[in-house]
Amino acid sequence: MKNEEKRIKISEEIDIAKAAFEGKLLAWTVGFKETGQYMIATVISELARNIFIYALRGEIIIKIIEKNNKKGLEIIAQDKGSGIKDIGQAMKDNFSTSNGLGLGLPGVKRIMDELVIDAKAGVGTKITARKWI
Amino acid sequence: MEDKISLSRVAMHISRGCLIVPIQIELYDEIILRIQKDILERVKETGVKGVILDISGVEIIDSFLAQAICDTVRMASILGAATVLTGLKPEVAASIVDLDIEFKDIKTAMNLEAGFQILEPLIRPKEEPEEIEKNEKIEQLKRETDETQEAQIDEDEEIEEEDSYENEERRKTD
Repeated sequence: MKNEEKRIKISEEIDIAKAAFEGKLLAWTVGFKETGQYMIATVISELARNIFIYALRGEIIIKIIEKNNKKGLEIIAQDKGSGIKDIGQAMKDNFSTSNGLGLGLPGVKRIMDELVIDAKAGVGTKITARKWI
Repeated sequence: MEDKISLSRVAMHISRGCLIVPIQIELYDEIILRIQKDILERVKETGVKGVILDISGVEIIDSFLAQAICDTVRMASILGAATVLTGLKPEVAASIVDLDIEFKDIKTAMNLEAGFQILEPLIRPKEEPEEIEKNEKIEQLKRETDETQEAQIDEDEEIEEEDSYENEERRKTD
């Protein structure tokens, strides 16, 4: 169970649902309650959709993590797209969700305990999100 | 490919003047867009004034799906049908709030029955009870006139009978 991780390539719409499902399954394995499982699945769905919309292809990596006898889940969303131009703006509430196309990063931050965004224009984006039980 | 299309069809039906759309599958983009199209077509075909979108089977709603649902509701309202979303799971409600999705113009209800209760006044306008009264009055008037007509017919028949009697008498005398 330790170091268990799932990698899901994102290149089609259906992969978004697949990644969300895998995430929910892994969250259940770790011991997240039902609400937590759905929240994690929603976050993965959101991150995977960002990859699909803005970078067309990329990867979602879901890992079981452990720290100080606490268990949790780490979600990494990475792509080689154009990166995020203005992270400050992307993190603003209602920046993109209002017109509907993904990038619900403020929501992801609210649901998860930790969120690290590493986005370099022209190189790609790597978003790491962690949630502890 | 054709199998996929038939799978993504949702069985809709009309009950109490509302189009009921039960979604008991996990949604993804292709399916929600298909459902959107189907709903709009059915609304146009049948001219229903209310739509109940039952999403009790849906566990994950991200910003895209939420937006697609909002769009569907707005499109249906432009066509003239009010929509109520029913059966949202607590997890879905929580993620909608956390993702800061605007569900402002959307009516929601706990279950189908509550959904009907919201839609009922919209489907049946308030003038209708008065119209029913009017119709009842008209029918009563009709009944009354029918009765008087029948009475008249009876009288006429009696007169006719008398006429024929008189005729017979005449024939006899002739």
